[in-house]
Amino acid sequence: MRSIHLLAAAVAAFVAMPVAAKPLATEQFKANAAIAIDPAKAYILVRAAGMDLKLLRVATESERTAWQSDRAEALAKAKEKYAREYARYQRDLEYWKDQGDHGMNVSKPEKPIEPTDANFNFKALESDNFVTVWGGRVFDKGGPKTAHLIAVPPGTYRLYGQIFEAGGTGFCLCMGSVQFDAAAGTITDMGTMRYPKAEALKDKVDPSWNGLTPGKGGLTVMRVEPADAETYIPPKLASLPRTAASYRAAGKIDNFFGVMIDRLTALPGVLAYRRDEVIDEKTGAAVGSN
Amino acid sequence: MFWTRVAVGVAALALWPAGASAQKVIDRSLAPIAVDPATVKTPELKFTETEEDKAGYDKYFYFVREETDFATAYQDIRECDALSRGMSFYAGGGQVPYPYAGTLAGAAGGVIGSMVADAIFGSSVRRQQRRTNLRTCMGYKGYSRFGLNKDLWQTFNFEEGNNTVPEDERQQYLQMQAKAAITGRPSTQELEF
Repeated sequence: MRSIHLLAAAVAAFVAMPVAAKPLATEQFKANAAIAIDPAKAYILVRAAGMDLKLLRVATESERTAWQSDRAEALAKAKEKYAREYARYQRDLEYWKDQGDHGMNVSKPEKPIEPTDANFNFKALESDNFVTVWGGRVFDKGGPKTAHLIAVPPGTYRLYGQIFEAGGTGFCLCMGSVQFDAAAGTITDMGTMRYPKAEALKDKVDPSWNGLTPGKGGLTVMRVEPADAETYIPPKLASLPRTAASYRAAGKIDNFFGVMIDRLTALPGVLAYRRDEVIDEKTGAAVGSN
Repeated sequence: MFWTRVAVGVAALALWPAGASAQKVIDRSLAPIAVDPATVKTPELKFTETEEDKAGYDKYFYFVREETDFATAYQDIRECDALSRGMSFYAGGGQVPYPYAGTLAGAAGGVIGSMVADAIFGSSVRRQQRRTNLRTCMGYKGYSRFGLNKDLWQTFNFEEGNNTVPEDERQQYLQMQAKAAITGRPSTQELEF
C-alpha cells in the first residue's frame, strides 16, 4: 500500500513538471471516431502496431538549420560559462596548493571540461519529432490484424521501432529501416507490421519468411508487409483518399531510447543489406547514417 | 517487490528536472580514434574448455572476423558499444538526449526512461540487454562469436548495468576487444549469432 502511495505521489509530482519541449501534434482515432479528412493533416493507417509503434518524422531542412543555430548558440554560452568555471578552478587550485601540509583538508578542485563541438551534448534534432502509434488504441478490428489510424503533420516518416512507453523497453530498428512520405489530405497506408520471431513462437514453428531465417539468415525482429490490393481496408476509410506507403531504405540511426537494437528485415525491391551497410535496392547504393 | 520498484522508478522520474540532460558537456567524442595497434595488448584467448566454461558462454564471449584490421574492428566495436548503451554515434558524441523532455509521453525515453527501467527491472536486465545488443550488432557486421573462460574474459571486457564504466577504461577494453577480433578464427566452436 505504501508503494502505491509513493507511486501516486511520484506521478503527481511528475505531471506537475514544466513542459520543456513540444512533441508533434498528433491524434490517434478510436473505433467510434468519425473520420473527416483535414486537408492540412496527413493520416497514417497501420495494422498490428503492437506495444507501441514508434515513428520518427524526418527533420526538414529548415528545422535542421534552426536546430544548428540553437546548438551553436548554446555551445557559445557553454564556452562562456566554461571560461568562468576555469578561472574559478585556477583560483581554487592555487588556494589548494597553498594549503600544503598545514591545510584545512580541502579536496583538490576538479578541472572543468572544455566544451567543444565534438563533446557538447545538446538535445537531438529528432527529439521533438517522434510519433507513437498506441497499440491499445484500435480503430478497426474487422481484418486479420487490428488497424490503427493516426493524424500527423505531413512529412517523411521513418519506421523507428517499438517502444513500450510505460516501461522504457522495446526495440529500435536502429541498424536499418524504411521511410515513406505522408502527404497532407490523404491516408498513407503502411500495410501490416509483422513480427516473425514472436509469431513463430506463438505458432510453435521455426521462424522463416521469404527464404530468410533468424540470425545470420537475415530474418529480424520485424518486417513490413506493404499494403496491396488484397489488404483489408476498414469500411469507414474505404471511400476516403488513400495511398499505399511508398517505402524507401533508411540508414542507421541512434538508439534514442536505450532499448534493444535490431534492423528491419530486408524488403525486396526496397531495402537490403551488405554486412551492416544499408542498401537502397532501388538504386543499389549504400544509404548513409542519420 | 515489483510495485516497490515501479514506485522507486517513477519517484526517480519525478525528481529529475525537466531538460536536465540538455547542454551537458561530457568528456568524450565518438569521432574515429587513431590507435597504434602495437601499443594495445593482445588478450590471452587460449584455454582448456570445461563444462563450466560452456555454461557461461551466454555471458563470456568475444568476436572474431577474419577479413578485417584493427582500425576497422575498433570502430565496429565502438559503434556497437554506443548503440548498445544508447549513446549518440551517428549524430555526434554524447548521451542521446531523451525525446520531448518534461512530457509524460516522453517519460520512457533516454536518460529518464533508463532510470525508470533500471529501477523497475534492475541492473541484471540492463547487462543482459547490453550483451544481446552487442551480439546483434557485431553479428550484422559479420563477426563470429566464440566462448571464453570467465577469468580470461574479465581481463578485457566489462559488464555494464546501472553503473557506467569510465571512458578511458572503456576505450582500453574496446581496443583489446578489437585486438582479439583480428587474432584469427580459433579452434573452438562458433556460437550462435
